[in-house]
Amino acid sequence: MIHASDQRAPVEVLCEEYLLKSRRGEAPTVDDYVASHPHLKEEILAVFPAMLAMERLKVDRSGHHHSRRPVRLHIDRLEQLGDYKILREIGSGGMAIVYEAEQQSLHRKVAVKVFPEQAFGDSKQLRRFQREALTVGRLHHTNIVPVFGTGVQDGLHYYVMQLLDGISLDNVIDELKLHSLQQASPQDTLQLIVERRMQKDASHSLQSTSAQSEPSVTTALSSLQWTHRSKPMEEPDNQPADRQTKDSSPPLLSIPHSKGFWRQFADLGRQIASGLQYAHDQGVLHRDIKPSNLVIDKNWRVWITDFGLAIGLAQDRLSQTGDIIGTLRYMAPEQFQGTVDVRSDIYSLGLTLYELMTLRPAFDGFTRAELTKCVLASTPVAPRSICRDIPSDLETIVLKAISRDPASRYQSAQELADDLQRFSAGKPIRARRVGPAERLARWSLRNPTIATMALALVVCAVVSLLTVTYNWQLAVREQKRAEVNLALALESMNQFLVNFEADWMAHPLAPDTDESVVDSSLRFVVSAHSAAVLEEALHFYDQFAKQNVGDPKLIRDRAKAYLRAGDIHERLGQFDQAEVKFENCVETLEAFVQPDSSADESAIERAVAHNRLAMAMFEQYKYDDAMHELVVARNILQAYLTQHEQSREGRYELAITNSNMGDVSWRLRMGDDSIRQHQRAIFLLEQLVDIDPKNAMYRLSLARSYRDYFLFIAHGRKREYAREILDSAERLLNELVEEFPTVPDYRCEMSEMLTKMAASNRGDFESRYELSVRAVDFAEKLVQDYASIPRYRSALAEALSVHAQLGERISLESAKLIHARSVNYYESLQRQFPAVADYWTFSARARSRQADCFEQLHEPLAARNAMLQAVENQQKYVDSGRISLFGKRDLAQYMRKQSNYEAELGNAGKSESLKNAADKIWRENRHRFRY
Amino acid sequence: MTHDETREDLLLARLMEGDQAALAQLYSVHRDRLKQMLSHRIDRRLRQRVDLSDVLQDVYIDALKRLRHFTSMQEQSFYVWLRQIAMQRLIDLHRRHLLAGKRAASAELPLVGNNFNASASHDWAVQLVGSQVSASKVVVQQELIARVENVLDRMDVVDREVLALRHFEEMSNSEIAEALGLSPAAASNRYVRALSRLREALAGESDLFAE
Repeated sequence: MIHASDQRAPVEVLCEEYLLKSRRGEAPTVDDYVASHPHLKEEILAVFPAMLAMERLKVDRSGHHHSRRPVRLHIDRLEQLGDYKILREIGSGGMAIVYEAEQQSLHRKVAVKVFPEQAFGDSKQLRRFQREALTVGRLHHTNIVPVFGTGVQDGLHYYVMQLLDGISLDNVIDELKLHSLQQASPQDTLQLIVERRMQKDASHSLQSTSAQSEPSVTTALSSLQWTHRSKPMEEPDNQPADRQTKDSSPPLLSIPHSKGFWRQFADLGRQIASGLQYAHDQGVLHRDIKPSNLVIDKNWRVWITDFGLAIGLAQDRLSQTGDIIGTLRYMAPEQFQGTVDVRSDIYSLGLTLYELMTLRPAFDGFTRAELTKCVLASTPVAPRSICRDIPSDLETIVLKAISRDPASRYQSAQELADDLQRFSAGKPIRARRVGPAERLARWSLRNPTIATMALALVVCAVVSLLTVTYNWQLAVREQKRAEVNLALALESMNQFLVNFEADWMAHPLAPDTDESVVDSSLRFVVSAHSAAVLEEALHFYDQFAKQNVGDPKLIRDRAKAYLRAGDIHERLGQFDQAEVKFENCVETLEAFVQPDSSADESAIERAVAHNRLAMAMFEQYKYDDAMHELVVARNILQAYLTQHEQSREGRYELAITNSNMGDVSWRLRMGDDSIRQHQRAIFLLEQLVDIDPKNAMYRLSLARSYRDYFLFIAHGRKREYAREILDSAERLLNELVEEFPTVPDYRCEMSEMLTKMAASNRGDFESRYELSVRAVDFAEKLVQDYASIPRYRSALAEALSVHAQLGERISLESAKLIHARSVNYYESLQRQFPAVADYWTFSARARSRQADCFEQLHEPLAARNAMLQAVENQQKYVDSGRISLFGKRDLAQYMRKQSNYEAELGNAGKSESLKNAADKIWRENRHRFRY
Repeated sequence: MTHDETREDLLLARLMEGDQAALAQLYSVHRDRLKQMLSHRIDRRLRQRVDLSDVLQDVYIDALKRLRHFTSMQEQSFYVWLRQIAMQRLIDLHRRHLLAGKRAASAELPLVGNNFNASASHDWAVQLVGSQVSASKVVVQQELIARVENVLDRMDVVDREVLALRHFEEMSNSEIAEALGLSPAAASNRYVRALSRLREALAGESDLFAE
């Protein structure tokens, strides 16, 4: 409401009101105001227009775009260009038209590429083009199309090249696609397929030359395909059978993707790479390597065309449509930032080979934005997952060439050529993929003692734990070697716990899911037995930390001990104590920091400590404090990363910080922030996964980030995109599942993710139902294979419960049976692990869902009984002392439900007392519930 | 009283009672305005380097730390308080990034009017005029830009600030008065005066005011 003050200008009061309304989305008009305030008419008419202009200015300022007019290619009928008589058009692209021409002085056929003046934005670009053409004219290599010269006439710039008789690689790819569709003759090799296409084109271009009026038929498919039926001084015989006997190509094997096929493929790549190497040696970059710029002739020679011409035009091209997409698709990520070197060409060649190998582009998209996003943010699928026939070594070569990080690629085209050569010769290639087993073996070789110790520790867990503790005590007594031994003891202890963790039952399905869309924090369900072991370990760490106060050499180890201790408390559900430990850890490290040391080596450890502290606070609903810690962590990492841009640990920890911030922001009701933070986490993790695609931790974290992000965007306008995100998460987990078949946790993670998504209330029914089916499938298999691992049984129980709930729409009777299975699993877990409070609440939730089902089946007694169990279980959970607000809220809800059922059964007194109990809980926690 | 205002008042009451949780909600109500304010005032060179969302997060944490100051001051409006904190952040940022190495006292950044150097006036003018006038009137347009620019340049610094606060930061008259240390009446009159000047400069250009 506007308080009309007598001192304020009356028209200004109206302005304020008007602005308030219009910003709220109403559409008041000036006329309305004039009509309702006739006495202020003049002032309104004098002031409002300027006010509106100002308000529009704000909109303009917040997002103004410049639309650019695309260059239109238009060349009038051409007959003669200098010495060259134009014969016919043989290709055209967004920037140029290529003609076949006759050089009259030398009586030879040539290709002339003509650029209209508009193609060059300014004279600077033009000069650059001319300079480049000169440089390229000096390149003489068997795989580079010779440029004879350049010229200009009537505003048309052109350059003259050797005319090729061959087909460009994009056509080869088309032909191969066709071939793979038709299941063509088994004798076909790559070369044969290429030749067949040449035949086709030859007859085609014959037709098109005879039909003079329509020269562009051949050019419709690709931008610069140069097909010509005759090459000067070359016999006109085109019979493939003849050529086969003539050629020295390897004998043909019978499977479409035979060894011979891939050898020819490698040879092709090698030729291009060696051409590139030559050019690079001369200081010329190509900048636009792509299938349509590579031509194979009938002598199986590959020609690189359009050398260096993309220079200067490239930038301009990006703003246009048409063949831009063709260029963008093969552009190295760093080129988007404007940096380009020899490795960018290697990348583009890699992508070209990738496409030739898999018959699909590594990146797809129809618009510039889509494609750019794709190139910058996603990783191509491993070729062998598209086609199993691809030799693993070739895949390795191509993947190395297209690493997103230039430093991980081949550093020169020659290296790539050499590796392809080695492949053709059947020798081992240089590029290595390092598998986990190999890595472990290497590590063990480097660290024989620790490796053995770690192994021993796993084999006899508790005994070893005692041994470690004993050794440590011994070490303390022997003052001399204490330092060394202490560190060793700590290391063994950590190793022990790492191995022990595999048996921990991580459960990401926290009981809070109803309220929170995002809950990426893993809740560890700890059995009584493992709890005892952990308490023991805790003791060790506590002692370690206390004993070594003041010993500067052991400060970091001490911090580590605190971190571990906090870890264990956290996993035991003792978040307050975990908070204390993490705080100790932070203090220990901060005391150690030199204020002026810029290259701070403990930065990451400190960030980790702040992160963990934040999340322990988060678990206790101290969101503001948590956010504070996270901001500290972020600042530390950002400062660190300005010095160490490439640090993977730093970037990984920043990703984790962002992800945590996303969770905390959500609870603080800052939805936009939350989404943005998750996006950042994804961005960082995607980069890390690219740099180090074998790192399982990066991939797992990325999959989780995708999952969290998906929950935000699952509904609404971006559904297609959401689907992609989900697919990526699944793909990552699938990869992990396939690569680490011995780690069932990844499958469990998969099942849990699917369950969570199915339960998330987002997306349409069918897709959610389908998710739940798959979740159950995964979990069923896990439980079959590892019946003794409680985490898997718990995953199955949850998957079944969600599946049953969704299935109610299809068949209530079947749903009833599935609910019963879920409840059974939970109850067996409860019996086996009575100390694990989490099972009580999981079980309560499953019971509550079961009651819903009974209710729909009109079985009020069964519904009441199920609800009774739910309330009882939830009560036990709340009584277990875990600090859980949501636990209480759920309890109140369950009580209300049971109260309704009791009323239905005529138990008025019971119903009333339950209702009162529920109300009491609600009252006590009201303000927090609402928040 | 609108629904939004009622809600905000409730939140404020809770904040005064010491309910920290209310801060986050109040903050999110004003976040977009703050962001707009920052984006209008941040130095262009910094704009490339700094993510405003990060700045906003810092502002939130600062606000949290200084919450007691706010609750102890009865008269201050929430947004103006928040805005001050954001301005302080911004000044710190400018110092850190732009003035690094040359700690001259004269390099102090004025709180008021720092956004309006000559080029800012030109920007404003170009946009005020440019976005509206059809291409065929290029010459007229140039002239008009110059005229608006002239008006903006000669305008009283405080008047110009009133305009900016009103439109770019969507502040109410009373908030503006508070932020600039004026009486509500003075703020109101300055606003009307600034608009009238603008109107005079653009007189006759009906295109500009077409809705």
